[in-house]
Amino acid sequence: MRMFATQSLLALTTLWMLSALIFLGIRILPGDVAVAILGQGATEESLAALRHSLGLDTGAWQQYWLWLAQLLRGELGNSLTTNAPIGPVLLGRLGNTLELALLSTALVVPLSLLLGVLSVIHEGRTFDRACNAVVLFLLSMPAFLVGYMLIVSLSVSVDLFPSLSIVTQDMAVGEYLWAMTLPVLTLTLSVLPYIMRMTRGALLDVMQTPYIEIAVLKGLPRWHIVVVHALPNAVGVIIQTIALNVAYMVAGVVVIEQIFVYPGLGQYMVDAVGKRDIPVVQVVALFFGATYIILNRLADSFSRNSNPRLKGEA
Amino acid sequence: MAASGGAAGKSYRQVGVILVTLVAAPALMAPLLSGGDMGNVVGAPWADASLQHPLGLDNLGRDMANRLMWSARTSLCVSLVATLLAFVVGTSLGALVAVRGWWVEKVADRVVDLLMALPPLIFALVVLSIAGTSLATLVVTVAIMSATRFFRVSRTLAAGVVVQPYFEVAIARKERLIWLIFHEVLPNIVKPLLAQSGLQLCSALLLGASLGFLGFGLAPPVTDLGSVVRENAPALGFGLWAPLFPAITIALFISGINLLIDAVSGTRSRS
Repeated sequence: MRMFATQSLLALTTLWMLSALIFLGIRILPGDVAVAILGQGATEESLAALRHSLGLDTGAWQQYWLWLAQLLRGELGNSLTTNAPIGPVLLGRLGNTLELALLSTALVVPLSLLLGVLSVIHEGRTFDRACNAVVLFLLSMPAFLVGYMLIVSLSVSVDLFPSLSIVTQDMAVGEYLWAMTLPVLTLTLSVLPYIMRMTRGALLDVMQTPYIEIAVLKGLPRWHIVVVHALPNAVGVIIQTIALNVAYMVAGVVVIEQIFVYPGLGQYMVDAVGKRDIPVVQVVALFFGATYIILNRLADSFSRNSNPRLKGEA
Repeated sequence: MAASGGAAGKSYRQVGVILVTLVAAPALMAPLLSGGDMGNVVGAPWADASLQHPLGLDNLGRDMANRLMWSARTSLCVSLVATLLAFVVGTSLGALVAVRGWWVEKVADRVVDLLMALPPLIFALVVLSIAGTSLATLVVTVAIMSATRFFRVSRTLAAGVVVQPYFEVAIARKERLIWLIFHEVLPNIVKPLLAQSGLQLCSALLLGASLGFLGFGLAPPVTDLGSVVRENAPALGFGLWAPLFPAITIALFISGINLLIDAVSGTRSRS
């Protein structure tokens, strides 16, 4: 319990510092943002107006505390380009991104665990080597290559799934899943090799230990040794890898959402960066950062809790 | 990984060298091979492959092979320079912190924690939204993200050196800090750091390509692999392979580097 408190405190401190970095970054970085956004030909009045709406005309810290206080009250501010409040748009986009990440997690975790365990059972044999080759192959592919190859093979050559994932609130479940297939598959394939490799590695480490040797000498079948004797001791590392990869997913979706024009948080951010809509960029980045920090902390505490020797060390 | 056997390790290395050369050599010789032009329109958009244009034409009717060489040149340059910069800064800071600590340790730890709290791509997007895309911004942003990883790794490795007897002897000899870092610590951690550099080079290339793909690549006439993917993406709807070429170029290079890393770590664990 005390550990949990320490962990949360640590996460909160990091999050707070991150918010300061994101907000004050606009002042730390060289160059005049107002001129950069409006161009060299902008009039002095419009520059002043923009500086005012970005809060650049008042003290940095004063402005920062105001921003943070508003955030904590749930007021996320207004977009610079549309002048509409950021909150409602952001929530919708966040929901979409979480759906994408959750569906992919639900697919990738059992799949990579199964493949990892199977390749350890068949270590050194054809199945294991084939798995390794596939992992190496997938590890080298940028997400857009995976996505485009899926589009070419499953959407253009054979018209199985749509290449654009346009999802709306009033979609039927079947239709929705159909539209989500390709992005979910892309995300799954880009995380699968990492989780699978770690699962295999963690299991093989455990398989070197003396107590496994005893199990082998007892004449137990290999699958029994791997699943019943080795897996429980590798579970900490595996869960940690999964949490880290889910963190990657939430952030890595940026590229995947762009491929499939999926209306998620990542696309929202990319659009905002393109239009230099800085208030939106700041808030979305903070959301990404928060997710990333929380999942990383979770990964940490999982790995500690699964290993009694590490318990109590903060 | 599978590089445990001698023969396998050797073939890994050979395939790795071939793949890396396949991408790097044309990129290096782009000005010679392309006859100096990098953006001439020579036909209809996405025209089919022919003898003069082995990979066909791009979205504006420029030679695809030519575009690939030039864009690979930029992408490789950016990632190499950024990785080198990150290596120097991250490694020496990591070693310094492991040897001396001081206040540098506290500050560096906090800063690195903070920078690692944002996914690299998100961090880069925040910076680019404020500073805009330019060669310098791109290189420095990628380098900063990469330096945090080098810092962590070199620090862990250096912590292993600091407790060795030979290091204690050097301390007892009252060697200066510079000597300690460059003569005692770094030579002993350089090999695992090289493997790390390979990985970092791959992530730098991927990060740069992702930014280009999202539309934040360098301004024309310069181009990078990610931007070429983006420009040619609409061709996919017509069943054409144009955007796959730059993407495959990235994959070839990265798998080459990965094979080299595997081969190197394989030989190391054998000896």
